[in-house]
Amino acid sequence: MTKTKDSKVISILKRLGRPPEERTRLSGILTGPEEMVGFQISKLPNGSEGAARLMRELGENNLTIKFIVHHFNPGGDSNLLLCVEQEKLDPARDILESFLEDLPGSLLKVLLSIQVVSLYPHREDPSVPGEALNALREVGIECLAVGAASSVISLVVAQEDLSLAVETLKNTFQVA
Amino acid sequence: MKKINIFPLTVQRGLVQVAFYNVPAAYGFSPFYQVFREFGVKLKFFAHLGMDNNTFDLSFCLHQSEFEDARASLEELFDAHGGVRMAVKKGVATIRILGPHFDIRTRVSGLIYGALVGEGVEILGNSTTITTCLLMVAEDSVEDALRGLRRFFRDKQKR
Repeated sequence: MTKTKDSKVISILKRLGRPPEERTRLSGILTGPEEMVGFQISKLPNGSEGAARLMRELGENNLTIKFIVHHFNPGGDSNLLLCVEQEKLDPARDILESFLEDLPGSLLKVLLSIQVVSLYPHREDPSVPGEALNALREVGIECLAVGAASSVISLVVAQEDLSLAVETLKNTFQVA
Repeated sequence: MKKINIFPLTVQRGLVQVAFYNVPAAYGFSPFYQVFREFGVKLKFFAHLGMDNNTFDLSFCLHQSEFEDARASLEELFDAHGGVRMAVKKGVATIRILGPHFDIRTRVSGLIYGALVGEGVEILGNSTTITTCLLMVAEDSVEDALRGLRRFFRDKQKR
């Protein structure tokens, strides 16, 4: 059956009658209870073994890692961001600086005063990170990292951007 | 050492990892999002990491079939900027480790990484947030990874 082209009037009426585009639905937006500090490590060598030694070192010094985004470069080194509580800044920095001292080429950057904002459920839907990143960008907020784990997707922002970030995300998504 | 109780380990197989490195921050995530939307991609793993030189790295997993559909468009994104590197790895899987109180318990990440490395498993990516750790490994190392994890974690295995 050949579909006939709508007349101009019909097209206009159809457009007027179409409901407004629904925002992507979320059950909630969570923020962490405490301010955190982030450690961005670039070019951590020795692949998975190097990363395992680092994680073990932090654990043995009773440092709880609240957030990790870690991915590996084709050359075998890796880049990661890990976040701990603000009050653990000094011991964490000491451990990481000491650990990385003997690993030439690796770089450590400390991100003071950051927060993690989590959106759920994620449902593997690219709309969630896509719309979140676009909306935050439009208000001048660049996320330091984004990681999805199961039904939650988390964005790391500067503490000073937190209020605006949450407000923007609430305006972007339909939150139950 | 007493094993840590966790929810059942969940595996997704038949995936492809795509990674983009050195994407100019000005480029933004929007072009990638458009490709994902166009091809109905489901993101099985997603990690976005801002780097110091005003660029970001992006790593994600999608099903093999979705990758084949979206491949040409993804490669176009890569071609758009000369400084961007793109890497594709087929035969990838994700393992989800969901545990109560991961965010307040020490040593968990060390145990997870150590468990995999102890079995000779190469970790391709990790996204850990709140109480969930989502790992990316080669599909043919999944059984080794699960064995390693079950040395330190007790999960109620699905029947």
